[in-house]
Amino acid sequence: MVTSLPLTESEYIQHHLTYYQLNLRTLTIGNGGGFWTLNLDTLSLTIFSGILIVSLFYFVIKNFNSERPGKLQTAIEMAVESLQNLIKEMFHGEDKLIAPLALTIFSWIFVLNSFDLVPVDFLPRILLFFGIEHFRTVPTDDVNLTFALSFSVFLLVIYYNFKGKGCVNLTKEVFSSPFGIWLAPINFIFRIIEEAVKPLSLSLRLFGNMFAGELIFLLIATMPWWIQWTAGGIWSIFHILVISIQAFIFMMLTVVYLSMAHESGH
Amino acid sequence: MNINLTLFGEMLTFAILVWVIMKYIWPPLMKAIQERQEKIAAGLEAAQRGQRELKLIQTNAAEQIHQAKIKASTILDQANQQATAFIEEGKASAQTERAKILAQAKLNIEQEINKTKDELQQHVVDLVIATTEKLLQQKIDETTQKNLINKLITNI
Repeated sequence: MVTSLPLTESEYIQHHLTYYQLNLRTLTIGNGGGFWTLNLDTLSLTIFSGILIVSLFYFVIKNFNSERPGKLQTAIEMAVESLQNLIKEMFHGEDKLIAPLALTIFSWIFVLNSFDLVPVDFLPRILLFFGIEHFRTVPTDDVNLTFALSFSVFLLVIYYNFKGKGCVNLTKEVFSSPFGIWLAPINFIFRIIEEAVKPLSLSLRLFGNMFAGELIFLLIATMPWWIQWTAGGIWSIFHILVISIQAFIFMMLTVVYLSMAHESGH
Repeated sequence: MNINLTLFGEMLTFAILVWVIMKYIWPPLMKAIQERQEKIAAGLEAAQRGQRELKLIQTNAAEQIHQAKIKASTILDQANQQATAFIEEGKASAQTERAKILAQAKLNIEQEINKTKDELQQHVVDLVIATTEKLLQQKIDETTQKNLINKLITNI
């Protein structure tokens, strides 16, 4: 079972795009379980990142110094404050969930995307010693994760629609906007499409960006070793930008969608 | 692109993460940041107040220095006036004292002169008497007589 090197380029890439999966039907490692499969690499890295950001925030709160703030504290303060301002501008009304939600989305996706900057063979090679044959380093290029995020946001959008407008008003809005009550079926279909597109675009945007990024890193890794640093360096620097922007866009759109859902008559 | 149970696993993870952050991270973080903002605002306000007070104290101090200068100059003037007055007074008293002493000295001198005159007269009288006695008692030649008289005169 242990991969024998050297591999061809396509085999190498194929190998790196295979998940570390647990088949829940047979409770064995490996694919073939269909829906009843867990991607252990995605799960472990997301849980690890979640614990990481919670402990980071916890550390900052525990060591909060209001006289002489450290660099980390100042950075988090600035991030949290700009986040608050953003939400204040977009989301009208009081809500306990939306600000922490946005903070979680941004920091979590940021950390998860950052795994893209880890050299493509680093984690898989280390884990090979422990008998783990396939391991995908970037959790955000797993559609399961991006859809999990966007589907959660979708559920929240529905919840905020009901919460912000009430059942009656929401029903009225769904059937009468944007073309008036006489075209109610068309309005309804439009609304369904509009709502369905939101989670789809959210998750596919993130997935597409990160998958393409990782694929290009893999392609760079198949280049001769003495030239890798040029393309790899440029792509890494560019990717620092992509990582932050994708995390920010996901957070921003979440806030926008929830604000739209919360406010009547958009 | 296989959707599998990981989707729900991740949704659960996400939900737990959001819940943890909402419950245990966000409120204390907000509290800390708010406290810090208030502290900064208070500090700035205190600094401004300090500056205002400093300005006030500075103008007060300048005013007081001005007043002190005025007072000092009036005191100096008064002292000068007093000093000249003293000097004038001293001069005047010295003048009168001098006049007094002068008059006294004149009086004394006059008295002394008179006394000497009297004493001289007395002396002359005594001499004349003595001479006369001597003349009367012995026979004296002409020259001796003349000598005696000359002597007497020079003695006077």
